[in-house]
Amino acid sequence: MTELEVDEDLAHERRAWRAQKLGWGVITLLLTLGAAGLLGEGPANRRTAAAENLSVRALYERTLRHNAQSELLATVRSDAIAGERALLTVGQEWLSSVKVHSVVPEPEAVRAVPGGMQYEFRAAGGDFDATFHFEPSGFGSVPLRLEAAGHPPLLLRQFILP
Amino acid sequence: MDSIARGLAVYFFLLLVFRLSGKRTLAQTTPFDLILLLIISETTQQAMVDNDHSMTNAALLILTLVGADLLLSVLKLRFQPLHRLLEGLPLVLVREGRTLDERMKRSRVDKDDVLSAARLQHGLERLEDVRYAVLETSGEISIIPKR
Repeated sequence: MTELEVDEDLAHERRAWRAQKLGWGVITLLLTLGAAGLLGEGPANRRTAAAENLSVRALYERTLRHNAQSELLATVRSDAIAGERALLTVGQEWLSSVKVHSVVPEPEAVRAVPGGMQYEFRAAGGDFDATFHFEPSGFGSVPLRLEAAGHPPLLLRQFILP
Repeated sequence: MDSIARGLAVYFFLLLVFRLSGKRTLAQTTPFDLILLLIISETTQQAMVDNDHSMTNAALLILTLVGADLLLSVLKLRFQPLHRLLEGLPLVLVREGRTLDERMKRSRVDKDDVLSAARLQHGLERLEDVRYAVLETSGEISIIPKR
C-alpha cells in the first residue's frame, strides 16, 4: 500500500489556524467598533461643540464615510444675530472636502469671504438653526470652522473614512 | 486612478477576509451560501463603482480585478511560499478509517461532513471504508476509499 502523495505541512497549518483566530479577533473588534458607532453613523458618533463665547453651536458626526450622506446642524445664538440677519461663515477646507447638497432653511445670500463662504439667513428671532445636508468627497481628517460674524470661531474636526 | 485603487482595495480585502475565514467558509454552496455570495457581491459592487456608472469605469474595474488575479497566479507559481500563504495546503483528516480529531476540529469539519463526501463520491457506507479523507485547498473534502 502506498502512502498518499499530498503536500501537507502541519506546522504551516498551525500557523494558519493561529492567524485565523487572530483574524476573527480583528473581525469581532471591527464589528464592535461599528456597532458602537465609531466607524460612522449611530448615536455614539454624534457630537456637540460650541464656540468659546457660545455664539455658534454645532451638532455633527465625528466620523463620516466617503460619499455617504450626513448632516451638520449649526446654531447661531440670538445675541450673535444682528437684526434679522444671521451670518454664518463656513471654512473653505471643509467646503472643499464635502459636497453640500442643500442648506435648510435656504440662505438669502452666499458670498465668498476670506477663508470660506458666508451664508446669510433671515432669522425670525431667538436662536437660529441651519442644517447642512452634505456628502463627504474627500478622505481623512478635515477641519471645520464655523463662525458667527464678529465672534470667535468654532473649530472642530471630522474624520472621513474611505 | 481612483477606480484602480478601489478595485485593488476591494480585491485584497476580500482575499484577506476569505483566507482568514478558513477553507470551509462557502466551500459547500448551499442555497443560503448562494444568497450570501450574491449579497456580498452586491455590497462590493456598490463600493467599487461608487457614483461612476460609465463604461470606462466598468472596464477599468474589470481589468483591475482580472489583472490582480493574473498577477497573483503568476506570483504564486513562481514563489511557493506565497502560494502556500494565499492558497493554504491540503490537510489529511482521516487516515485508514480513523479521524484525526484535532485537525477536524480546527478545520471546522465533523464526521458527518466526511461521511457525506464519502457517500457522494464513492457510495461508501462507513468511515472504516475510507482510507484517506483530505480537506483540499478549495475547502472540499476528497475521499480515497480502501481497496
